[in-house]
Amino acid sequence: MLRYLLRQLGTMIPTFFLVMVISFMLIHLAPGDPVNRYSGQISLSPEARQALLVKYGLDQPLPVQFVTYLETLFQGDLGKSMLSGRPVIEMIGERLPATLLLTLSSSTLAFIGGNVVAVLTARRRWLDFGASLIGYVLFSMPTFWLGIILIIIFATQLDWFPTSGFTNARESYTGLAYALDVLHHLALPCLTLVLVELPGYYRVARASIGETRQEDFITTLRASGLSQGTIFRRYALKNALLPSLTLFGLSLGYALSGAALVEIVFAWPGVGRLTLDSVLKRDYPVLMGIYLVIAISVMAAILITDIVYAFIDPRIRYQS
Amino acid sequence: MDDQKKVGVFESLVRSERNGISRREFLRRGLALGLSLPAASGVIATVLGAPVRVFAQDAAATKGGQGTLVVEQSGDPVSFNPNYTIDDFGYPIAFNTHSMLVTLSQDVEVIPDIAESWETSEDGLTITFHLVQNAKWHDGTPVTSADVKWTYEKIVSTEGAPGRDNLIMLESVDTPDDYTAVFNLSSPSSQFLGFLAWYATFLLPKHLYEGTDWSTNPVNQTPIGSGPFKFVEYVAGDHITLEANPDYFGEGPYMDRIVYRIIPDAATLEQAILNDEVDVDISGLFPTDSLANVEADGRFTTVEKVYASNFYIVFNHGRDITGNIEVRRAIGEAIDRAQIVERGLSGAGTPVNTYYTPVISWANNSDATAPDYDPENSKALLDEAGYPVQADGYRFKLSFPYLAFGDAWRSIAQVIQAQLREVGIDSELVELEPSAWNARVATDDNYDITYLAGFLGPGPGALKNRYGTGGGINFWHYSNVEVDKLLDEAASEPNAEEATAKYKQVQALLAEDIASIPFSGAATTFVYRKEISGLPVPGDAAGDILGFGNFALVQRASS
Amino acid sequence: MTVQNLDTSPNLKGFRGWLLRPFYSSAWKRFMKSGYGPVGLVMLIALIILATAAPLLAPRDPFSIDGPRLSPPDADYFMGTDNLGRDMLSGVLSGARVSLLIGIIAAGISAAVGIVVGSISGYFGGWIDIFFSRLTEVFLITPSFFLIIVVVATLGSNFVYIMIVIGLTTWATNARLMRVQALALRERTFVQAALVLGESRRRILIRHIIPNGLAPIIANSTLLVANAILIEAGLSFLGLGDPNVTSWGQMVFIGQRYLRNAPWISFFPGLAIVFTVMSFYLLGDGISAVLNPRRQLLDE
Repeated sequence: MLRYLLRQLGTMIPTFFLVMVISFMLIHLAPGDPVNRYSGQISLSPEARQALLVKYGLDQPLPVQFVTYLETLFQGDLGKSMLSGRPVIEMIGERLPATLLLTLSSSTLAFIGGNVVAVLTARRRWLDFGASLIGYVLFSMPTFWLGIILIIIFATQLDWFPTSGFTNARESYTGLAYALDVLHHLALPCLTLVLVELPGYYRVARASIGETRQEDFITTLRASGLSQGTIFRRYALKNALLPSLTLFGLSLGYALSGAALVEIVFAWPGVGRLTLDSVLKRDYPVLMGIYLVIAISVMAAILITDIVYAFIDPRIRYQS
Repeated sequence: MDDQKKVGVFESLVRSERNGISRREFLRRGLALGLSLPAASGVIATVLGAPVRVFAQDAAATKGGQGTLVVEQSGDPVSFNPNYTIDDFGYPIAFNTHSMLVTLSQDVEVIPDIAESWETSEDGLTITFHLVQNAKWHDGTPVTSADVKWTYEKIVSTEGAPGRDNLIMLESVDTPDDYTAVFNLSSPSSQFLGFLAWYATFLLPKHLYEGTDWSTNPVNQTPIGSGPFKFVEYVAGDHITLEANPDYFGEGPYMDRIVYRIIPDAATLEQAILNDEVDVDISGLFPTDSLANVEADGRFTTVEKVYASNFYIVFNHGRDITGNIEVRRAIGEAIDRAQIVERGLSGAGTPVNTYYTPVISWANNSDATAPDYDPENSKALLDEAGYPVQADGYRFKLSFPYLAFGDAWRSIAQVIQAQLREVGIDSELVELEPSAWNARVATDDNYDITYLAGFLGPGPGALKNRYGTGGGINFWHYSNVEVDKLLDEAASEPNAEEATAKYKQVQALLAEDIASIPFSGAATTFVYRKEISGLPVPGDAAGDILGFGNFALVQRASS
Repeated sequence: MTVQNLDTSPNLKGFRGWLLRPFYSSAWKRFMKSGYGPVGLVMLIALIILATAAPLLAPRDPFSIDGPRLSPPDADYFMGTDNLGRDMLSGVLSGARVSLLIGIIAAGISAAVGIVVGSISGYFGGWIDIFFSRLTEVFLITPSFFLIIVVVATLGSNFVYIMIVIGLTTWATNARLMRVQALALRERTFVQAALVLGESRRRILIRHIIPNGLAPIIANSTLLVANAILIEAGLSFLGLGDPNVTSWGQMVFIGQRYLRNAPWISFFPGLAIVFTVMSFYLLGDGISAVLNPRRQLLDE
């Protein structure tokens, strides 16, 4: 098992290196003068420009710059924002709670919901058809559109939830009241994401269940006289749920990237909006930092999912 | 002026054209200077006695106690230091956390803020400001002239400070006593006071900034100012909270807290307002077409603010097609202004065909007009100019980048594109963020037409920037020797009437040359709850004593 | 004594037979049985017909701003008009072309790159495999929306750029699928035989590996087309769409602000997006059913 783990880790290292190369290139490939970008669009005299060049090490040849970049990275420094001078890590860090709250909760609910629906509809044909149909429709909706519709229905018309934001601006709650307030605000954006993600899990789970039931071992069990229901619950279910577990694991890795469209519609203070703002303002250090953080997170998620899978299915360990 | 500088000047002016308050703010200020400084003259003959701030000594309400005001904000501020860089989303907040020496009223007059009065010397080289004596920084330290000296000398000496170029004639600041600051100018300037009241000229605490790099000083994240509200917290992406400053030197504040909620999407903002989650929107984000709903609702007040600005189409005079005056005339005749206002601006504007703004009527030459709408003649002109319709149905294709300032700007571009197509001119729209637009238009010269909203700067003297050869924002290579001569003469003309006449002549020449095609004025509508008063907006007295965005006098009537 | 002809297979001779043969194959039968496939196919065909015939069907120039603003659907304007006075019906029809084009070309590029990278990687193995696998992994890791936003914001919102960028950021899954196929196929007898017979490795790749490994890519591509259309809608919402074309995404985005005053602006293009995306998903499911007979979505 350990060997498997190390082997997987080993393959990730060159990938990560490539990720860092790409991240470094982000700022240098974009058209325009990098110094202008670092100076935040203010006019400069030649002396000031030269000073900035030196300050950011832009006067060095590219390979040297890359090495410097790697050095700072390994010290845990993701650089500083070009516009505000704040450390990128701080800027990403302050958005993480809101982001993770939204993406983790919606992914988890979608995963559970999708599998539950798949199991429930597996043997009832008409339910299955109905669920599939609804699933297709939801899957195909633009999230921002769904979002504003939910706002209009549940916030404006029914007044069950607030329209947007992380907390209630008028009151300053603490403790339990604060937590409840955040949950109250979380409901609609989370619902939007769940509605578009759940059908995905449903499809995968449903297909997998369908496949598993036709496996030989199931047929054998049927022949032995066990009822369909028992077979399903005790044997088929576990195996059938594996593929959607992989999907879930991967989506956990992407949780850090936020959900830009939903965040904008619901004014949710997540990393997705930070990404968009940074792109529009050309704040490359922040973009690079976000990219690296996401890459690390996804790679970790892939690694963990692989391990969990290998744990459950010993064949995998011995195969590769 | 070398290219970098041109770009910088232009950017500093255009930058304020961003969505939301700052663009409008900028335009307002431009109007302010236009009105209050009629003669772009070099000599100030009169000694201006500034109005002394009137305090309502027996103000009905006591400070604080009115609860929380929730204000819309459409983006995140970069920092809370309003002087070191252009920060459109930090600006509205700075009005409450910081003070200026002088500021601009709703009617665009220079009014006192922390300087309660001032005198200008006969030769115009010295301005003496008298500060209020009870102002304190939010950390309790008194505000003195030392802070004034430090702040303004810092601005003028720091390259890259947005306020620097405008205040460049400031040589030094003397501080004969704690509450008097004497500004020494290298040359007299009728614009100086206006610029001082304008942009990126807030007072910063010397004791916290001296000796540090003001662009990275941690105080930028938790500001200490002298304004009516103190900074409490900033939850990135969500909100900024301010609380009342009980030691504020002026009247008020009456609200206990102000919370700026960051809502970037217009549709969501509308829902938030309807749901009582936002009290005030002076950011201009509210969708114009939904105003009717809100007005009919009965819970809200809407106020229209007309700016002294023109939207105008700009030609690249350096290119063959657009350099041809007959083509420009044809394009001018293809433009239906009423339709642009109705469809592009959703009615938030008025058709304009003069080369200055009719809002500053005394400086506007109403006879110097751009071509009228006449699509049939336009087609004939194009045929005559040698651009017949080709096989694909169009005569030629223009590259048309425009600024990504939101839905209205995109709609305007699309309407213009459609109108040009009617006469057989195709165009390719390219939506660009300000820095990208700048790179493409100013630096790379890669466009045929584009359009801008006319920010006016200090009076008709601003025409020089745009239409004078080599002008700071004259990226379109327009050049007329006669115009240059008149502009220079008017700038140094001591007699105000003569100067104005010359500026009007300039406009006549611009019309003759069809230098650009103005098409609309600009307006925006503010939306806020009926029970709120004391907002520095048109129709409220607070606008005459406070700068825009300063909520010191805001009150909420109890229902 | 005559022998009864027990051969019940259909007469598939001649030209007519050649045309009809595919429809008698077991693959086709599986496709039809899947239930979803045929529905998707019909929807898609209808869509393609509408899109191709758009210039003929559209009553007006979709860019013409002559109509009344924000006018509800009526006899004159079947789907109403938008905030600029443009006819929605014409807009939706011509938007069909734009959206389909974006979807198909983006998916096409994605498939092409994925096939090339995956097949080379899987077939040749060794260092080539290691390098390309790492590269594929990098692109798998990067959230494609992130990359797309960065590229479009930096290089411009040209319609063509958007298509290419979407294609170039989503090829990784295709590459992985193709690689797995290539790995399996290269052990097959007929491939080994070709090698022994002296066919160059390049020819084997092109003539044997790729065509036989295509199937899952095709199924995945239908998903990609659907996703590309949704991504374009998202880009329009962020203001990064191409203002020169009418796409459904842009129309939905414009309609966001008018959901109460003029809901038809969002409704019709939104409906069109859902319809189109659904048709591709259904088609994809049908193809999956063909490829993997055990993967029945509908129960027996």
